[in-house]
Amino acid sequence: MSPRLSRTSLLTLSAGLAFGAIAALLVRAGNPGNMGVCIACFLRDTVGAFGGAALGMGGVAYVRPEIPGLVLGAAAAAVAGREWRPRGGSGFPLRFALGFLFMTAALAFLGCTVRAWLRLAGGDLNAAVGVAGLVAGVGAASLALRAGYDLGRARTLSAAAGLAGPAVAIALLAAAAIGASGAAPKILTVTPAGARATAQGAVLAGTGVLKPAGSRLVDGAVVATDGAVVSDAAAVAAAKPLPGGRRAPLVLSLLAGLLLGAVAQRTRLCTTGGIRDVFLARAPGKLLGVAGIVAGAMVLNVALGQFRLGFADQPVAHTDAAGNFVAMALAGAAAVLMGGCPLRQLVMAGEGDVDAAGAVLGMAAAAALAHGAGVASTPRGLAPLGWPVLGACAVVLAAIALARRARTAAQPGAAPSP
Amino acid sequence: VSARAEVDARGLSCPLPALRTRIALRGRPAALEVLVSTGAARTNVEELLLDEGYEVTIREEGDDWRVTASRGG
Repeated sequence: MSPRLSRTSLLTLSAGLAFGAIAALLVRAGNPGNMGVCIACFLRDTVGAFGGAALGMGGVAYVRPEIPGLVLGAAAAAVAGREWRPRGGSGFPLRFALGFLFMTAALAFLGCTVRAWLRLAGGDLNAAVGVAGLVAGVGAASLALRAGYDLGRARTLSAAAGLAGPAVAIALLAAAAIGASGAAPKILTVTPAGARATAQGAVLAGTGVLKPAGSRLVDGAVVATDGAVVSDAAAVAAAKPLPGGRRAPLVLSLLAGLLLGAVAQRTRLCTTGGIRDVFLARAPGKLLGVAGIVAGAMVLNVALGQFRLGFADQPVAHTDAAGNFVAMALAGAAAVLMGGCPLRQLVMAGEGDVDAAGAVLGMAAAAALAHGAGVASTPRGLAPLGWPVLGACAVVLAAIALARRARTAAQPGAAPSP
Repeated sequence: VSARAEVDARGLSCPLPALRTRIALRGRPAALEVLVSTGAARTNVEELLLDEGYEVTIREEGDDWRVTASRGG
């Protein structure tokens, strides 16, 4: 191994280690279990803050400062490294669709490709099944790349267009600050900190009942205004925290996002690129990034008492093995077809890539629909529509992969002659 | 075996710049020029060429970068 190679490897590994360690610390600071950073979950929570109860997202409503932090950290690093490039025009509608498909699959698994590795690092063996699916999906999409899949060339755009992603990020930060200030403008919903829900759907915060409206606690049970018992005392005692109500302090989340966004921009950290490069080129170098994420998070998880090995009762997870495998396979395939995992999409949006911003927008749109439409999984398992929707995702993904391959092959000069 | 090859990878998504460079390397060119337009593409292409034993220089050209590889002595 040459000294140069080991330096690059060391950088990639260090970036992963820092990412994993900081993610584990964010859980310690209040983020949901094995969800120190999850691009899919955090985009979903952010959408929930604007959609609220109208979209069935009252329990997942919080503008996660990590998201704008990642975009702005990447933007700053790109400017500092003279790599800020406003660009776009490479299959924007298809990237929106791929982001949509990615998010739909991620919400069936309960986490994106970033969280899959973090769940593994927390001892959640359902994520091992998910990662196996991820490898399968990335492998399938790599075949499409080999066959000439291409979304077309991006071109240079005006600086104003490139600023779209960072501008949205700044607006989200403002919304996060307003939410944290206690002011409650009508457009913003915030899941109360520490809110819990029973299996029957009653929502509690502290010793009060938030939902159903007007209910109260009597002898430990939730009782509706007509006297009917909504949730018995045992169910109330077993109430689980709502993800939106679990969060690290705003400033910590923001700083972590900024730092990790900068690190990811400089090191090109990607949670699917390593597997893809093994399939495409037998080049395992990028795998050090995800190896670092798992190792960094696992060491901290063990040290902080957050590590628990097993399948059952893992935080924000379900045990449907087939569902976990297929959902992550589809997410992995979508990530490769859109040119990088959701972390990369946020980073590229920060670099001025309007197409990447389109993929993120597609993810947000899927999040807005998934909860109200009964598509997102719960810790009890896949939603009733889970399998039909995953099947539809598979068909559309395959169609996109095939369509863009055929079109590319028809273009003269698209495949360089050997 | 060709003496010189060029790859225009401007505007291409990851991992196509490295993939097309790899395809161009099948001809075992003595020298290779790759045009890229993102930092990530530049890094990936540079890494690949260094791994293949080329000497690499990079020059900024407007909004793009020209990665030039040649067989060292």
